[in-house]
Amino acid sequence: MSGDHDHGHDHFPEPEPYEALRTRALESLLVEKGLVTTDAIDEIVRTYEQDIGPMNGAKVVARAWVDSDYKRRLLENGTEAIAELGFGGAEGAEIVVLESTPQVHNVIVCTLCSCYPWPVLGLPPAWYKDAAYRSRVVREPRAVLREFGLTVDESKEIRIWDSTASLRYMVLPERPAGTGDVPEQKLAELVTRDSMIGVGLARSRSEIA
Amino acid sequence: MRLRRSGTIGISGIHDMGGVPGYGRVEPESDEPIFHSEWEGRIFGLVTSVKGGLSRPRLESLDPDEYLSGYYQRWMLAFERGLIERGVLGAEELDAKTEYFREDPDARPTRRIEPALTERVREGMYRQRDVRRQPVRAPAFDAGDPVRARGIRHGGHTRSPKYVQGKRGVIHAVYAAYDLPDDNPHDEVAPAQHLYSVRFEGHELWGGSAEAGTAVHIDMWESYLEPLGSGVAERTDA
Repeated sequence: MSGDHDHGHDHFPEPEPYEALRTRALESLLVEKGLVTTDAIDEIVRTYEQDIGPMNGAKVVARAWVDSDYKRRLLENGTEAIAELGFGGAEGAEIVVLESTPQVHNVIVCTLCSCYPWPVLGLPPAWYKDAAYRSRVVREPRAVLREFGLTVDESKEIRIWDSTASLRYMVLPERPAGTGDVPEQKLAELVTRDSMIGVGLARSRSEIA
Repeated sequence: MRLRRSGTIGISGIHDMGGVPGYGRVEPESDEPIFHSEWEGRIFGLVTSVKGGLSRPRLESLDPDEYLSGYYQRWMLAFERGLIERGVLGAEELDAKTEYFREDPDARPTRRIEPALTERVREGMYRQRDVRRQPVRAPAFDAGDPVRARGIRHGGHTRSPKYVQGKRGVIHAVYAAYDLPDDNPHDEVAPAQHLYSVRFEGHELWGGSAEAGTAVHIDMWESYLEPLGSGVAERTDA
């Protein structure tokens, strides 16, 4: 991709991809039939671009790192503890939180589809929905994690959670060493999307300013 | 109660990709946008606000090439086919409208603004749904019980992936009861069943090629499982 979106008048504009035309046709017809409105679609796009994303899950993780009572509630009933912070909704009817420890490293996948805990992680990245990740991570998780730059010690179990049913999973990553004095808000900045999927770890404190 | 789907949709099986070789390396993007182009966001908004278009059986009935063409590509295909099948849209009017937008690249979809509907859509994104159901019987398995995943032969939609069918596992956790989403041949409404987290060791799933110290935990409805060993007589399929 050149990234050049400057369609000047001096040269021919690139033809629109079929999908863009087809989507315009679908939107137009569904609006004309009264089944949807323009601003409803605008609002859904805006919400998932701005309001519902991994910054929500990061707040949940940071709270669990500093508050052991909250962590206990979170591991007992993820959905309710996540609702305490104001998060819930579509694709979050039942959220189960998996604690990664020095003994067990958790990773989530949906081999049949692309199930993902939207209220805390937002919409999944493209690779999570693609065939390579879905097919391989159940069979050779260590090799797949190495492709993400994460080598998990052989002595540590890797536990893959295939979300096939009504529940959605998120990972509570291990708290980075040496962060005992870091305040909760700052801790949330260490929590990456990938660490809550399990294909990465939380950042070390030296990685944030 | 929901009506079962009647099995009129043929499942290609392409979606059931756990353990299937040949899909290459995982390619994460750095600084990936939520939507890669405007149409992805629009189709996402349409699919999540217009009920009855997209369903998992429809996604699973796409040809392999269609399914693998991309995530929002397959959403779009399954969505429009669902709407056409249900008579919400006509195939000809959709093609004609597509042609209209091809001929006039500056044309934009018909606009309608309605704050009340937008508010309902907004509430829907945040509404907490209760998907638990009253079970008709007590759970058949306890944590620690050895089980085997049954073969699923109805050919329709199921949540039991092929890579665990026939394999031995152990009940890791007993969950609540939920509606079984499988197609069934007689269009019956299946009562809600208990769901379990079942642990399968890597070496049980993949034999000698398994990586050491790996296991898969997978959610399975009770009818996907049969008891195994420890003196319990094995049930046979009725």
